Amino acid sequence: MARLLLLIPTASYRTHDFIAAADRLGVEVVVGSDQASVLASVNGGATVEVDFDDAETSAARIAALGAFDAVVPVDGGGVAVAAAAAARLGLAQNTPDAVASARNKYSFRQKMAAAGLPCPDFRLVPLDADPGQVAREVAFPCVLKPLSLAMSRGVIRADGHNSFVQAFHRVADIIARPDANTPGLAADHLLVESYVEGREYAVEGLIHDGRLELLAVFDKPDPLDGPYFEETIYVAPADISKARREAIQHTAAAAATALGLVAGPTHIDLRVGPDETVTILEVDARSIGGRCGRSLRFGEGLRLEDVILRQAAGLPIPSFAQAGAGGVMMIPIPASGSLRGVTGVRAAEAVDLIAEVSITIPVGDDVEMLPEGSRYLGFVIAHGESPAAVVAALREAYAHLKFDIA
Amino acid sequence: MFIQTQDTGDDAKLRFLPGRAVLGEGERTFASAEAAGQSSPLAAQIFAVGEVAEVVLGPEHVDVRIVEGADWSSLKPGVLGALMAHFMSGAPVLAEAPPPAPEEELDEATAEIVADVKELLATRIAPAVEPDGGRASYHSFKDGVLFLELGGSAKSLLGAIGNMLRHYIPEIVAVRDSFDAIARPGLETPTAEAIQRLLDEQINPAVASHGGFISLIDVQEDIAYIELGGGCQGCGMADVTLKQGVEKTILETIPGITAVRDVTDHASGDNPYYSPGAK
Repeated sequence: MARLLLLIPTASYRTHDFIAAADRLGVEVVVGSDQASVLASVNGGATVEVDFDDAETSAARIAALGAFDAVVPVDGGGVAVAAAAAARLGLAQNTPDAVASARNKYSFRQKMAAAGLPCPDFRLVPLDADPGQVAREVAFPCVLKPLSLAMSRGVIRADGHNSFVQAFHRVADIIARPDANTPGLAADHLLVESYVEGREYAVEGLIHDGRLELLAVFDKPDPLDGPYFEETIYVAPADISKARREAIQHTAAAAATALGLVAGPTHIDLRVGPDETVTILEVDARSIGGRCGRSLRFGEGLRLEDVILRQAAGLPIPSFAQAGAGGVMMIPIPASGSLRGVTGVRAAEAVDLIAEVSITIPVGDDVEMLPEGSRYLGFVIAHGESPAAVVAALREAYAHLKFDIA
Repeated sequence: MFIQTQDTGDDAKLRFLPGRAVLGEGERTFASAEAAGQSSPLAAQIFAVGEVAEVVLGPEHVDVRIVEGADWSSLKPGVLGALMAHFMSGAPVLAEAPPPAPEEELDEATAEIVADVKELLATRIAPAVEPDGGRASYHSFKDGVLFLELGGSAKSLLGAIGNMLRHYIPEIVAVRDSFDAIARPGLETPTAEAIQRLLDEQINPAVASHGGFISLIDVQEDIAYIELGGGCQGCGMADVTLKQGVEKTILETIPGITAVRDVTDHASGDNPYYSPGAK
């Protein structure tokens, strides 16, 4: 029986899906998390406390638990610890250097450029630089980004001198917030990139036997032109030509290779320009986050977590082919304040093709809009025969939801 | 709550998967609203949607057949709503509990207590629990023990509700969930007693440190049904607590148990952990 270590931050949305997948597979599981399990005293080593901000110490603690077939981070929080632990255990997983580059947008851009992949102009700027001076040196439109934050948090487009200066201060303030938890270079620098025109897609892939298996290409049908880049609907398979799909696969695979990823899931955001040039925006050494993975089914009904754990356990994967169409709406936060109530959930659930409506922020919590915010209000999942039907169902369901924020 | 639907190959019949135990084992078929009304609140609620010809309750599914000429596109939302309302209410799938005694059979003193209970529920308790999706209503009162029908978040507030009712009505000795009034012979077996001891002596003292508790709801054949309450209800790490802690410990310790199932309504709990997550 395979033995896996699952790294699950206590804040993860994906605990249930990965634990259920491990249960279906019948593999032995140890769970590593950032808080000790309440039952650590009685569960016979089935859990281990790790520090996701201290990969080496955590890796040593994991290595002391004996041999594992794989160390699996269920989302972005655990990839550094997984890589460090895998290195100690001698497992053929992504290296600490590779995952560190994936998590630092400047390092990532350097690797893309070195590999000769299409790349926007980019520039690392210290936060103590004079933004007015920097604005005179860059071309517009451009995009300012923190080096390490996820979910488009702190990503702002600037179209001119004044908007650049305003965006610079705003991004700097976001980076300085305690909850940003930006390490190293990311604590006192931001990245300025030339704006990449084009339609945006996301690739869900699995690096398997040394090559990138394309699990799904998500289309992002809502415009992502800025000034903030709030993502809403993802739908797969994207309704694109064979040539475009092949170009996406080719460039995504090249990007993963350039980064040094050798195994496991990867999530890649990219844009296809008016001339069909594929420009990679980000490559992550993890699968799609939040509850978005629930929009995907493979072969006879395998879930994304089944595919990931089967690979980790060395078990055969019956099919990489997506079954039907699926989509997710990440419910945006329409205003900052306190979430006082949500209505329309049952009506949204009753919309045909809707599989799930989950509100993941409890009533009473404070919520904050992008670019400062870092959460969605929840997720709507739909499955159907066609991407168009799925998108229509997601929009209809979302129209039923009303949020009282004050 | 996440209810999936599944085609059955028969256009008139659809399978609903609520993601939790329905009967746990076996099947019960109801061919009319009258038959369901005698035996199953869940089936009766589905028949109330209208144009339903048959309801089959299975271990973890509900099959619904609609009458000839009816259209699923108009009925499916109603059936989903009925399932959702039932499971959120905490009412039993089968009506094994004795119906509440008719009020006219109560003696004068008891009738006065029951009237006071209903008034407090309406004026003090409902306004407190309903904003969070909770529901509390009178079920029965016998020998000083008041049974309430609790739904949603009100289940986790039983202690506070009981304290308030006992404060105003000293004749009430104890307040319990009406679910406790249902005969569950599985809880009276040596296996169930061993599980309860394990919960009392090892597991609950540990989860209490996080404000949680775990209740044994029933034991049927080789399956133990448990419910997570307090800080465990809705917790993002509840699956880890269950699979890596509770289930592992029960399976290793109690012979004859092969599975542990969670029947908690996590949707109405407050997750103490949820925070940022990348898409």
